[in-house]
Amino acid sequence: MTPLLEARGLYKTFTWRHPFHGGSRRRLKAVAGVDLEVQRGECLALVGESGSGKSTLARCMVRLLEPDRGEVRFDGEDILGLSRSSLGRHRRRFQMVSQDVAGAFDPRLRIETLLAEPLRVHRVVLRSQVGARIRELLTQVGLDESLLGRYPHQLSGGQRQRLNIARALATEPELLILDEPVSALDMSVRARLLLLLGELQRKLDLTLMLIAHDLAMVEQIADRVAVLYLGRLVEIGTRRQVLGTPRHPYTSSLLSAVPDPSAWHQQGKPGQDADRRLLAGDIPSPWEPPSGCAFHPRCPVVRDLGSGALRRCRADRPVLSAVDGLQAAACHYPNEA
Amino acid sequence: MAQQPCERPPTLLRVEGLCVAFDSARGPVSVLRDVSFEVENGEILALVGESGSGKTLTALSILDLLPAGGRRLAGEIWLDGAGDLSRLSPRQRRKVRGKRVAMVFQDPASALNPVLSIGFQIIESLRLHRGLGRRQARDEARRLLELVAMPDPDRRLRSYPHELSGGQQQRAMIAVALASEPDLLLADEPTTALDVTIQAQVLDLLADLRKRLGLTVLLITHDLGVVAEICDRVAVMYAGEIVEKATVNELFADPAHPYTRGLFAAMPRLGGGAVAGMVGRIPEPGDLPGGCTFHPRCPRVFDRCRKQSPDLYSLVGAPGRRSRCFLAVDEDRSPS
Repeated sequence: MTPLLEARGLYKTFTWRHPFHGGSRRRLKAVAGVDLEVQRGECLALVGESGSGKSTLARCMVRLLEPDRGEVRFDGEDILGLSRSSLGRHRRRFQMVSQDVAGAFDPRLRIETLLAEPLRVHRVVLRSQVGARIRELLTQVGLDESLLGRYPHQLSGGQRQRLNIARALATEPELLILDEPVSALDMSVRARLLLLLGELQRKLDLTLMLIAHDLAMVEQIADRVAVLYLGRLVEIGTRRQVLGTPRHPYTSSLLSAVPDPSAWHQQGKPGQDADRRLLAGDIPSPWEPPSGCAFHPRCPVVRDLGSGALRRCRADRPVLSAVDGLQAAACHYPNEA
Repeated sequence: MAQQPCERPPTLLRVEGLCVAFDSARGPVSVLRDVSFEVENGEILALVGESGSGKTLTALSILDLLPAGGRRLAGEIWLDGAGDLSRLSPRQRRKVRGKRVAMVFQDPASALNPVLSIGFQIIESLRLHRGLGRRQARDEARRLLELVAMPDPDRRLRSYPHELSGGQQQRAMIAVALASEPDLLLADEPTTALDVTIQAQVLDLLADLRKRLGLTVLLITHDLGVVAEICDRVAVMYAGEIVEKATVNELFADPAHPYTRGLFAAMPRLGGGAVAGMVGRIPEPGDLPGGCTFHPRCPRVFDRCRKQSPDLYSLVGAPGRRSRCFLAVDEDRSPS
């Protein structure tokens, strides 16, 4: 079966020209050779720390950014080769919901206008049916019709994110890309939005690509999880595989950094987990990524394996290779993670 | 309050009946109502709540840093050895809160001064509050950066905030806060802006500082995971009131207030099963529902909740535990 969205050998480099120093250039490889497939009907989560390239990758995959190299296919069709106008026609099939719920709307437009806009631009329904469709959209995301005359600033954070989703759904997309959809929201609101996303996915037969850093949240709705580190995929697999039996030390470190409210149950006292693998240091600057495996300076596994292993990880970059069925990891020592 | 001088460590901070209101066109709007709690020496107390619950305003009131338009209507803030801070002269108060109470903010990038080096910002406080000489202050600043496990402290003294990563900026801000050797550190969402890996490092640092320096921390957070990691006791806030008080173990074993229960159910945890949403949202301060402020969202609401506001009741059989809910005292409806 053809995947709904597919990237092959995707690269995106940003160039920065120094204002002085004779305009010397520096290059930042934000996405460095990623192959990724999103299957129809699934929810794929992209996780990683800030600076790992999650958002850049997602934006390249729907051509909100032009990748330098590689191939992106949507439903089998090469979308990088499309002209602007035919890309525009395809746009209604994939929509993006951004993290910044406050900045996503023109503050001077009423909710009604905000929802009517995509319907008109993409000619989704007849003019006479716009009103009915708007009401249907509001119902789908659990907002009340009485909000139609309001302005975005009059809504709460949760309502705004629902509106954001409603607007993305207006064009009847097959794929929804959600960039940190709940991280700006309060806890009690978050849960309901997650439930809504799951429900919409089932009802509307949506494919979701979720960009997130919160693994506990990812566990709630993702079918598969892809872990990014400095622009490369370091691990991918089903939710159960990646979160349950991670095969890349970076994934296990991410997992053990998640505060575990039930830890005190087992440990007796909070914060005393001996197995916990605290990552040393920050994510390295993507301007100067480490040699070999980009994770080696922070890797808790190679630290224990000794100098031979360190030499190998410093020199050779491991490629993403299958470890178990659908699970693949880019690590020389996937059994140590 | 019960007198148990031998069993309890001396209280460092006691907030008693704090009420704060903001002036608005429609008259004063109450944002904090009868907030009372104590922080014991050497403990980490968490103030937990969602945005709009009043947790940050509580901390700002302690420092007398309420935003314009905010007024303290009632309440006392006792700091061990200094008495009620509101009775001090402005000058004395400034001295106390500068030296003995320090604050760490959520966003280190905007709390640090961007045009001054990290070293300068630490040394400034050392000279002002501890009267150190230039050379001494410099050595001490270096020691503080080491204390907060800043990599390459000598170089970092000369760095400017923008040259540091988010985690390093937060470490620098903690170093600035520790420079005056405060007894009490107020930390307002110190890890919210950080990646989860860096959050774990900063939480570790706070736990370590508490152990090594006997630091007392009032930690403000919305994240129950953070609470479980390093805190001893918790006060849960909702719509400007404390609705539950407990030790961390008690709270996680058996949350008493329906709001706290809702928070736990709404929080995704690894391997913890599906989340359950909470209906509605926090009411606006000017538009509080009558009776119990949580009743429109409460799954266990009954008649009395709509008419009467509950007190912060003691829980039967659990000294020190409090819940602002009629269920805590209404035997007939108590959980079986």
